[in-house]
Amino acid sequence: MNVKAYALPFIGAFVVCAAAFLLLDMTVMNMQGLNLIFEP
Amino acid sequence: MSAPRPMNSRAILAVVGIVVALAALTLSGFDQAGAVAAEPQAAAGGSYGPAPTLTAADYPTIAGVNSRVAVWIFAQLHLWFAAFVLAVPIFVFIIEAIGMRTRDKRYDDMAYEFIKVSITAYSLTAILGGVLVFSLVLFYPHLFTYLSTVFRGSMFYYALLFFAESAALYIYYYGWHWLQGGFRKWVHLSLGLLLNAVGTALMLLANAWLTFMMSPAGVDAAGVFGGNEWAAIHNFLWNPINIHRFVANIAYGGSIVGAYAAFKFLTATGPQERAHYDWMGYNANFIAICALLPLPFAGYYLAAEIYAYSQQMGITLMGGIFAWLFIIQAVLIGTLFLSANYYLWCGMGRSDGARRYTKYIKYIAIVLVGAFLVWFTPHTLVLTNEELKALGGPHHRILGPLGIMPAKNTAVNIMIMFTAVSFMFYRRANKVATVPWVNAGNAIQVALYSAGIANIMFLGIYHGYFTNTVYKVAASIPQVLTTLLVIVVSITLDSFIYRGAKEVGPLHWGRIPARAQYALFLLAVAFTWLMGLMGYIRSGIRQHWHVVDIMRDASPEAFTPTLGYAANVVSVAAIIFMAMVIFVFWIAQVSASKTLPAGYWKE
Amino acid sequence: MRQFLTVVAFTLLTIGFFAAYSNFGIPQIEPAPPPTEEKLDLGSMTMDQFIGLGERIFNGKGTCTLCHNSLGRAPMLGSLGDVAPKRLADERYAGEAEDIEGYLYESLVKPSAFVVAGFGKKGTNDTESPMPDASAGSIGLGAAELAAVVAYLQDSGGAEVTVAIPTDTAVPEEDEDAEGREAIEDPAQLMAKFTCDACHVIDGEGGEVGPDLSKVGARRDRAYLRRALLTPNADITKGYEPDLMPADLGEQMYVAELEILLDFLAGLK
Repeated sequence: MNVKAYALPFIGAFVVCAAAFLLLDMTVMNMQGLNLIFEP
Repeated sequence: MSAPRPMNSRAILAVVGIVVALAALTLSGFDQAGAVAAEPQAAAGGSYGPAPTLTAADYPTIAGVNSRVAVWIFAQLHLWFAAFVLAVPIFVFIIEAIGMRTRDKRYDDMAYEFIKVSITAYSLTAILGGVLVFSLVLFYPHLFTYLSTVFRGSMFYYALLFFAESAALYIYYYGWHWLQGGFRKWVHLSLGLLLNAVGTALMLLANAWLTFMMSPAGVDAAGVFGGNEWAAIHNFLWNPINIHRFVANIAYGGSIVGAYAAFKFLTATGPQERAHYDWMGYNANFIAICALLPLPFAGYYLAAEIYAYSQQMGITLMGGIFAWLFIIQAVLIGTLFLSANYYLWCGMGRSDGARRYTKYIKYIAIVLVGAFLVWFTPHTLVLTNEELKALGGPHHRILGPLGIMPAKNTAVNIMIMFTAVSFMFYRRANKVATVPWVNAGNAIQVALYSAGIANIMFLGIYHGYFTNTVYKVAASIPQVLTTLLVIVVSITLDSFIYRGAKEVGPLHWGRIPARAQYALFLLAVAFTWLMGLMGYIRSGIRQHWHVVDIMRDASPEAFTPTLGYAANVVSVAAIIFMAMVIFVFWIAQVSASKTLPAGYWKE
Repeated sequence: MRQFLTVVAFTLLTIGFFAAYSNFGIPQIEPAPPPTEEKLDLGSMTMDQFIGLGERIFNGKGTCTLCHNSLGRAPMLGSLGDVAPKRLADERYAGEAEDIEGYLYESLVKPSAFVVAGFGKKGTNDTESPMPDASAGSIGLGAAELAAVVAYLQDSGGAEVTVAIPTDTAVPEEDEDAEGREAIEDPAQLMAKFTCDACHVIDGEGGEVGPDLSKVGARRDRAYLRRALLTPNADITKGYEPDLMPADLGEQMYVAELEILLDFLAGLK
């Protein structure tokens, strides 16, 4: 199993997906009038 | 091929049923003068009076019959059959369309077999509907008078719509082999669409009446009807129930047909028959799972709307005396997910290439069971008066935090995602990818799921335990969107990875252990019981009100029963239903049998 | 057939498991029965008993503890004595109460008059309260019950109990024709007030539910007419139904008014 062939695409995709999900979170929370991080 | 069917008796039954329904409505309408609370003067400005104030004497009884349980069981039986006969045309329509697209006759034959099974069920639905109306008129005449005053229009057109439903269904079914090929097939498909439209309209109308009882609209605080029936129909909980029932019906219908296929598989006499029913069971399960995945969200939306309508009702539902019911529900839903996944895993044996994925199955199983355990851990019961004292203390120190909604939302999102993973493995089992970037593609899939799970956990844990209520609830939306996004993207990505893929070998339809069929039975039974439980909750949340806040239930049976009692009634009803379903399946089979009595007929 | 029986057995077993779990696996809570109107003997109650009544209602019929508890859906009520004056002084306060008692009463029947920060319905910016009106709908507390709850809240919240025990019962219906009405002297006005023409024709106008009175003075004597007004079911004219004429005119009319009416009717010849 060629680890390198998996590792790079995995890391790259993970970063992209995580960023996309955080963007989704922020957008949806903002739409509800809230921030992503709780500010009491 | 088959014996001539007695079509006339069914048509007669339908007409009789409609006449009875109309007669009942008219007669109950005449009773209105007595039902309105005594007023020395007629209500100014309208011809409508307030909702009657009833006493125990206003509820007729029949010796030996518990009126509340009778209405409960008839209503639940009617709903089970109605869900079935509404769901089947939906996926029959889809399967017929797929058959037309692929020109694969097996799909057309399977669609025909599905609709054949539901024909007898249709009669039973109508019979049970008639019995339900009768029992409402007999045992709760004032309530029915009040409701039929408000909903006179929709009830009348509901009755008339059955002409359209019967016509569409009978032509669709009886004309199946006549309307074949070319233009005729399009006509036939359109009939299927019409059947679905009419069926959905029927459900929408009936949903208005029951949601009105929960969240009345179009009437004032005393129950005086304002004259606008659309306002009463379009009440607060109407659409949430519509959505939830539409999706749930599909999942349910799929599971019932799956049980039919499972039984035919187990009693199959040859490998060809076994292969056919294995394929049918797979398709039915696929339909059930597709509808099962979005269902928790439809249910969540419904509960959220109940909360929004009345915080009291919402809290009683999930934090008060009904809270433990949702633990039972959790056990049932866990059963559904585990059952559906187990069937998929067993089904992988149809492919020779499945061996590659077998080693991952146990991890999926561990995750699913773990999520299920979180899913059904209770938190606190906010009880009123003696109920709180009877139970003692609030919640478990360690497990309690797992009982709140963020933990449950996290758990169910994980369960849904991993069910999608099981399904992906199933689809991949028989394929070998040929694209050069397959390794990268798989890595991306893993990354997608990992990031998705991480996001779900972040939203669940951080917002669930380190913020306030408003954030907690709001975070559930991006959570569910994450799950949906992951599923859609991964399926799309997989379709690219497996573009031009080689088949490992032909699928061995029929090569599946018998115990997998029991997973399909479990699915059908659990679904049925769950629907019964949910039906009780939806109706019981009104507690001692016929129409919440407007018309009190003053009958001797107005008490809210214990959960055990409710579960027992649901169980008895489920057994009756199963017996009726067995009858339905048997009829479908018997209609194809022929006896050749030697020497009976004259030469 | 064997297969069929196995499937049936499996089905019954599964249903049995679900039923067993529901009966034995989870606590069997007996839900509270539908609320009944409690007979209140207010005349003989001490303030302590009255506060106790309020506590019972708070924990029972009022369903207050459903939301007013430590889970944070509604404000805690333990230190009302200190908190209530602050609410009244709050710049957002737009209600009409002037003291703690008034504020508590207003919070019970008009909860949206002032919504404590953070407890409003989502999206309304704390202008709409999710609390229902305790005097209406499914809670439906009567005037005396509300007073008892206010007394309890004052007592448990560390404020001085200023509520007086009401002297009438919990029945909300108020007799609109209570004492204080001015006596009517004109027979036409009397007949208008008691809507005689809804059922009786006099001089060609009126309803036909009861006998035509245009010439009743010639037909019936004064004693009969008196009986007809005070106990209508005593003599039912042929062709008419009993139980239609109000039987309580005797309570509603002043004695003088009755005589004025009798004079008038006896003169219709």
